[in-house]
Amino acid sequence: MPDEQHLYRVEWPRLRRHLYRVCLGQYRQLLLDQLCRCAGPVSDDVTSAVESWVQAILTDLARQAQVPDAWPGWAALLPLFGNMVRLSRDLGREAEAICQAEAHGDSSHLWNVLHAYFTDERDALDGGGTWRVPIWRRLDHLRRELTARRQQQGGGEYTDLAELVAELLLLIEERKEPDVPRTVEGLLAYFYAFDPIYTQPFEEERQGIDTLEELTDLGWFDVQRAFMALPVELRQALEIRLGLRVQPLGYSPRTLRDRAERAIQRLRQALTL
Amino acid sequence: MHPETRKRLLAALLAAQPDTGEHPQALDEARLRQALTGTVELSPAEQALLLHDPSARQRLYALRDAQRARQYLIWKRLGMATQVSYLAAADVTDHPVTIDTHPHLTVKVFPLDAEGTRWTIFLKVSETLQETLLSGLRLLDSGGLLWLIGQVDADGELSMDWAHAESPLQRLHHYELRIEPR
Repeated sequence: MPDEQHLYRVEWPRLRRHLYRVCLGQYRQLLLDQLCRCAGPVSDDVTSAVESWVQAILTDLARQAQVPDAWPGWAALLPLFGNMVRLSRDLGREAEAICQAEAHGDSSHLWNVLHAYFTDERDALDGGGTWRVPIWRRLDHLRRELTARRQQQGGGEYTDLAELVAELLLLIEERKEPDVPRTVEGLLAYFYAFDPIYTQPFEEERQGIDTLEELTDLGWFDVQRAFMALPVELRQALEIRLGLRVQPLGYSPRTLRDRAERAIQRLRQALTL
Repeated sequence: MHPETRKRLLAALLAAQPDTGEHPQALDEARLRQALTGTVELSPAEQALLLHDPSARQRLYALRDAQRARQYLIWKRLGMATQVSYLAAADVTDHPVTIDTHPHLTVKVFPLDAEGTRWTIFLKVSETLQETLLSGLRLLDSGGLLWLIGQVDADGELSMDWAHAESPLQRLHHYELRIEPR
């Protein structure tokens, strides 16, 4: 059975995926309903809103952790919510921006605040913060250097992580950079842990869809037909969520968000996903 | 449905999937590696597992990234460029167009009718490039459109019918070609 350090270091992407789903899926509205009424610097209202939100999540996680033979990750998620002072401060400070973004159906601001908090808590729990964060900063610096060099030669940003990792390894070897990973897997682990693209399940899946389609028979997976069979108001809401349509007037952001979520649920049921 | 729309839709559906942790060992890394190198085809049960288990997919994506990075590393160490420089001279032709500006590969664009509405794309790689291949190849243009994908055969060849509305020669007015690990 993996210990907590293994879970935090090796299975972090999976833990993070659960955090995303529980915080932004199941319990997002509970937080927003209260946080957006008391936006501003840390106040008793913010602290109390965050506390009741965390309590609901912890009760749920604890229930799953207590099931016989439960995945040990459930228990490992609990201590990540342990720093209420910091979590209330971070959410309170960003509450206004979070609520404005949410009003436009954009949850990325909320997730960025939570992700920064969870990553620091993880580092504090497994002792990795003192060495992991500086290494990422060095790798990020080398990435910017490679990107600038590429742009001088007429190229653009790196869109292929594998190509970037290969070039980083060559640069690390050439310069004999100390204290940074020297393997493909070692470098990739840093990108999965720190690069914002890989910290959201949607982006993670989007990066992998091509491979998934190549290796699985999606002939039965008639996405287009199921999508077109949705009621028009659900389809439009989903199109807005996916960035395929400009938001029309007349619906509140909350209505659009609820409809988009209902559309996703219906499609998942129709496609047995 | 536009490929990007389909991709975003699938990603949204898969990202909403709960990770129940019900099948932790059902699809191990060795099996996924074999699938990625094209040496085995996954069984229907294994394919279904990939579609239903976010953790299995995450393992697959990580292995895929590592394999593709290794392929790039081999090419870059050998000084093999991934760009294929070529600009089309014409839009409509009933003759094959050959792109042989890259030292290790040749692309041929075959028209299947005189009107230039149907095409086949053919790729042949040099023996040197073929020996470096860890898996399959993709041929894309700089606009992100996929031209070809798959494993080259024993003669280093791969071909596929063109499946897009815009003709390949029109694309070559604006975009460069490049190869990527599959």
